[in-house]
Amino acid sequence: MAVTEAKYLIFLVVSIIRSAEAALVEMWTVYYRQGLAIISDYKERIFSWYRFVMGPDTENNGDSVASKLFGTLNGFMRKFLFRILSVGPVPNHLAFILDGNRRYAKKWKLQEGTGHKCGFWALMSILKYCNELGVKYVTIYAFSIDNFKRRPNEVQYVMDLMHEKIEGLLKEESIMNQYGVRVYFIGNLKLLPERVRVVAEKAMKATENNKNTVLLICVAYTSTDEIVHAAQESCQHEWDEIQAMKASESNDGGEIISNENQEEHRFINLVDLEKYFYMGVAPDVDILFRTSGETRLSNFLLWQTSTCLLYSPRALFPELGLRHLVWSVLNFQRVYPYLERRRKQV
Amino acid sequence: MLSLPFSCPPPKNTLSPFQKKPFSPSSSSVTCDRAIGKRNKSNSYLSISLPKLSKVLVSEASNAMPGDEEKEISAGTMDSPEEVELPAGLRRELMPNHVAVIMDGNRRWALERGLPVEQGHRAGGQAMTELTRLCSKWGVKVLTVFAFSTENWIRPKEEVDFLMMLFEEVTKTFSEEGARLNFRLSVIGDKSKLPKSLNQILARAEQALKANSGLHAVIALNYSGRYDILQVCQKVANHVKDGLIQPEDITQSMFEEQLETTGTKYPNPDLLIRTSGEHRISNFMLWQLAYTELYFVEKMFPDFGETDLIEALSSFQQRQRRYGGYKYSTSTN
Repeated sequence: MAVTEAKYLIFLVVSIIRSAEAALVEMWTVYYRQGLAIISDYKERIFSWYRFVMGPDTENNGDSVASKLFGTLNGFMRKFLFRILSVGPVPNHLAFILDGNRRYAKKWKLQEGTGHKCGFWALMSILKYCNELGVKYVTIYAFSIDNFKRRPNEVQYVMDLMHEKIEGLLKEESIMNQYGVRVYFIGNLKLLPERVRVVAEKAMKATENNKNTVLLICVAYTSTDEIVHAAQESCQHEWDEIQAMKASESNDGGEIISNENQEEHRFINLVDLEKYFYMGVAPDVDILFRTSGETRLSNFLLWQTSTCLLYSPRALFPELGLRHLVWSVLNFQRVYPYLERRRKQV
Repeated sequence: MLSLPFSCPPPKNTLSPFQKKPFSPSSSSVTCDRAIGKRNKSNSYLSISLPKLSKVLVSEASNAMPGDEEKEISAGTMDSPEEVELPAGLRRELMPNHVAVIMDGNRRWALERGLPVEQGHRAGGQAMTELTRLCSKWGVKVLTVFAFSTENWIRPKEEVDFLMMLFEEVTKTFSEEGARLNFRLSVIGDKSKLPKSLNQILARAEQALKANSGLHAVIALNYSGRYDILQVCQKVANHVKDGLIQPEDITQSMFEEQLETTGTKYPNPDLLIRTSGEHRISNFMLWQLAYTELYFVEKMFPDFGETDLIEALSSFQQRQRRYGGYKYSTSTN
């Protein structure tokens, strides 16, 4: 008798939990995702970050109890997962090539520029995960010098988006300072439109005292351009030094010494060159992500990724999620002992 | 001579599909048994993709010709690439001009089989010569192989000495084959640290094959991408110091001309293949790999054979290379 009653009790408890779960999912679907997938007309909103793209101006913003609860639960589970990952070595520097925004827009039949916006929001969540995991340096490939070859209206759209986002960043300076994020804009900034360059320099100055995390945004950047620029700068520096020495010697009259000094200054070594890289502010990259399944470097961080792990998931950039990050960190932890050994020996 | 049940006429000078041979030091001829190879080949094609099935059926039908004709053609000197039929699924106009290979996994291959490490390197050498032959047949113009990196000096001395001796042997066989098969040879890297005997053999081989016009094989010995870029910077800095140029005159094209890879017609690789499943560049040709398609293989290098090369090439041919610009076609990949 007792067994049957116990069974009945268990059955009751389980059905209550199941109905509660079903109710939560229903509430989440209706309030958080704008409706049931089967009958909704706005399918792209269900399956994408579209609702975040439209901003807090939509009628059904996600501030309901259900979504808050869901968000908190999610965050808690994520922190738990990161605690487990932190048992092994955690990468210090991650780099992302943001590929696939236009294909995403085409796939979900959105307007052409919306893919970039979705990409921006995916980037924000990735940065949040990196911050929680404890990654100190994050580099993103926002705009290449080769991308200036694209259609003028698309280039203009991206420039406007960058200007808007950087200004937004400046407005939320308090949040950046709270998280201790320092922002660098890496690349040949002279190639950017004037207003974008001005606002980028302002953002760099505003966050220069933060020390927790460093965000490096590569705009108007190609690695070959960076290397040539570093060579130019180091040659210029040497040239100026030689000229200064010659000037001081012509005052003193010490000719023999000047020849010897010229011999010493003859060679640029590795340290000199690396000093003049745009990316000299960050250490070498640990993992390089390239989304949308393409496996090529596209002239990004060629020098800095010489011994780093390359990871190219098939997901398009707006679809990049926590699982890709976790998988790549696990792979990194697998090869880390070998790479560390080699680094120490060399 | 033969009438086929299919409507398409058989192409002229048809050679049988290339078979995967067991490794043997004395293997030098191109043709071999067809019976085993054909079945293996069709299985591997089915695993690539279904749309290619029709092409496989056509090529199988055309291979129903007897072997004597092909043996006569191929036993002699190498055919020019235009006459050789590519394996099914590959298109001649999309073949990469320059293929680079990182030959990784020799030691692990040997350890897996309980063989000494030297045996693994030898098997790697044979795989490399086979790869060179296949690339030459299928119209690849330049093949670069990463034989020895600046970071490999930390390996045990016996292994390094064995490798230097193996390079000498492989160079000798290569120069003999190259004379017959119209190969050219170059070596990139810091030659000053290599043993004198190896340097002499390499110089002799380079000189002997200089006039050939076929596949250009480039061997990277004691090479690293950073070393390459650094030596260019030093050269340029010396020019600046001597007053020949101003610092602001340094451009990308001037930089590229000074790199070690300028000796070839196609200095930048189109496809990079790395075996043994590691997803890294490991300091190989950093500047030149700016727009290269990377392809990673799980197998160890001694196991990398013809079917794997075909898969790599067909994967390359399906990729959309945009170089940062925009492809205005409507096709989605």
